[in-house]
Amino acid sequence: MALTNQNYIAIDDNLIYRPPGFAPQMQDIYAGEYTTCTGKIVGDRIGWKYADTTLTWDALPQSMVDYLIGMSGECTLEFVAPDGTITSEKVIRDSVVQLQNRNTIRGEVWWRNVSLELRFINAHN
Amino acid sequence: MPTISEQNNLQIRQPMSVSIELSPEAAGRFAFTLDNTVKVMDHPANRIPIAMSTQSWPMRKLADLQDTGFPLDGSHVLYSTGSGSSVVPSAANGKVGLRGNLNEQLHVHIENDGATIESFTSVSTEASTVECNGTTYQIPSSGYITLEPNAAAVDLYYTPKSPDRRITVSLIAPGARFHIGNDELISCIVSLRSDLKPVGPTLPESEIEIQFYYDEDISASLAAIPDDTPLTYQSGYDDDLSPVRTFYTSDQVTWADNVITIRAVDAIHKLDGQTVYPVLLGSAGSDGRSQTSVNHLPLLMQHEIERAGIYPEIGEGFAWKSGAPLKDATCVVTEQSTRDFIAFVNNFHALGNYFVEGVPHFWPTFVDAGRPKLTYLKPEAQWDIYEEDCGDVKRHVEKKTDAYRYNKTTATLSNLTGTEYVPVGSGTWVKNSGIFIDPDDFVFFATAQYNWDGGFVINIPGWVTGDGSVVAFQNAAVPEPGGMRIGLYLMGPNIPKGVMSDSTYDWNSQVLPWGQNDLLWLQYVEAHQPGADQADIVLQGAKVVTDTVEGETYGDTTGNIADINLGNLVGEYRVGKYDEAAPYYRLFPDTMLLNLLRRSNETGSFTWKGDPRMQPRDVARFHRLDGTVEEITVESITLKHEGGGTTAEIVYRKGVV
Repeated sequence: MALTNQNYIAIDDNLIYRPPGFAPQMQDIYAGEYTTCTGKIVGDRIGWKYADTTLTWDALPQSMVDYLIGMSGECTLEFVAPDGTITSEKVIRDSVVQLQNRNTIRGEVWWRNVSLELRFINAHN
Repeated sequence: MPTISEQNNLQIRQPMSVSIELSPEAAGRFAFTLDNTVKVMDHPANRIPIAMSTQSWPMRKLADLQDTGFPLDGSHVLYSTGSGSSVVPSAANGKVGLRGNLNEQLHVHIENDGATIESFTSVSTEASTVECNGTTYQIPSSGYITLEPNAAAVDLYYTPKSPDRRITVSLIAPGARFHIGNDELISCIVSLRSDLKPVGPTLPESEIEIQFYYDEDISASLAAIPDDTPLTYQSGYDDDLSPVRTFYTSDQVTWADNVITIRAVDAIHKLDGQTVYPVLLGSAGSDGRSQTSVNHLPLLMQHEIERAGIYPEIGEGFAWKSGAPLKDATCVVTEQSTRDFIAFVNNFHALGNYFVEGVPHFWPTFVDAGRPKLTYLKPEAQWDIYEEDCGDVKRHVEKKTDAYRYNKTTATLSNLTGTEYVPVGSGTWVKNSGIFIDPDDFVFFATAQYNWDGGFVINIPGWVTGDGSVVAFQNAAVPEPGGMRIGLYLMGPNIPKGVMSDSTYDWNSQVLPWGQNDLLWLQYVEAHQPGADQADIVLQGAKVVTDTVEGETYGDTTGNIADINLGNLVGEYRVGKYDEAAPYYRLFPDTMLLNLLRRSNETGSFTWKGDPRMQPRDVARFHRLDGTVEEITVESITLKHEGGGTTAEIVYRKGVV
């Protein structure tokens, strides 16, 4: 299902509640780095990427947790960037899905305190 | 736009572009059949009768709306709707390229004169994929793609990247060819080398090793790339790319795990197995005085380099000839390998006492490193490197040398008076006629020189006869003031008679390379004075005897003594009359060894940002942290392009070497 509003993110087209405070940070990528004799770092800025991040939810329903658990290898993460554009990035899951508390609310299973670490793969010039 | 110098002043630099091209010549000649998907080409027929270029070339752009529109600078040509017509040539240089319609596939049918098409490379723009006999391939961003159809005929269908794109194809040629840019490059390590140690230096080889991504296994095509295939490399920024360096493949190009590896070396290896024959450099004036111009050695070096098929750029000052301060001495180059000879001259380049403001200035040096260049004068600092920008700064001080113990070769003429030459031939030399010199027993160099006493001297001073002795020839029998113009021609086994080399010289002193199997043809070309249409020629000679002297020393023998071999070159060799009162310039050992003793024993290394324009033996100002500035000579540069970034490891010797 396509991502249409900023209350969600999408992983391989599966809509998941947007984690509170989810704001991927851009970071520069450097290559050819070395430390000078005065301690200065010298290098070439070859592009940027989103910094690896941890997605944390207070609570997620079982159906969405299933999507997270089912992440295998390279996945596509879609989210609404601060400028309102829908951004698509390749990611891989970098940790197991942390599940601490299982609850049943009106017959539906919810998990509290869910988290997982994501690594962004794409680099941009 | 950024330049290398601007970016190197920054702590964080924009990444350099790297551009590498490998274009081996492969046998085969394709015939192309085109249909109406091709809109502009060079020939009216649908079948291109000539092969497309075998080298990549930039096609001119169309004046359409897919790029920058209609600039009036001649860079764009008008579009024609004539199907398969020759309305607009692809380029003024006559090369053949193909263009498709906007947003349409381009279809090319290829045959190889009945033979199987094993592999070919296509270079295109604006095409995202190409279908080859039913299989679709993604085209890399460089536009180069090598395919291995192994079929009698190939049908290619190029698909444009987007609806507003028009496909161009500038090359379809047999074999594997590559253009490697930043998108494909995994690593490129360029090792540029010289050898600045004072004792026993070599002429080292520079090399390049490239690894780049390629997701098709084309091992068979790669295995067919012959050794010595030229590979060009340059890097920098779009508006400030380094000069092109040319290397030659030295190992099999391999593919493994989607990575192609190429190793190549500079042209130095072409000198391997080549020998410098014994040469007497210099000429004799009519008064018997030996005259040598200091440019003889680098001229011989240039000849040896060009004989190996390397054509170096010649540095400033190389043409400086007459009035050379070494004119009262002659030297002999003994038989040795060309690489040893060049290493020897590079090491002892401060030959003679040609000083500018008290500093030796004559400095013949050859460096290849993919950009062969022969320089003539002492180099000046052209780079500024600040220690604060460098990492891993190391300093090393070698054992100091106070004196050299050396072996040298001496040469003596059988006559030293200059009046007892043995006539070896004579006759009347008529304008536009020539004399063949019997080549059987002769090796050597010839020089021709205008005699300032009013005649013309032709001197072929270094013929080695069958018994190993050297015969010096002299002619001083042209009476006309102003002399005549003489042509000296080489005729080797590969040069048919009647086709002369271009070695026609006027009366400035010249050296003429002469290989062991070459004929020497002397031709009286023209007189510079009216009426001088003939001249009497007498060729005279004297034997030269060489000997070896061992165990002499130079310098402060109470200190450290190093052994060194000077047998490659004979100095202080004189012919005929010699005026003891006249200024006398010694070739060596004094000057050579004095310069070696002056050479710093301090070396060092550091990591730096790297500049692809820098050559080994370049001189830089090294700004130390304490504010002092010292001149250093770069011995080697290891330029690493890895992970998109660039660094350099530099090894240097203090001072100008």
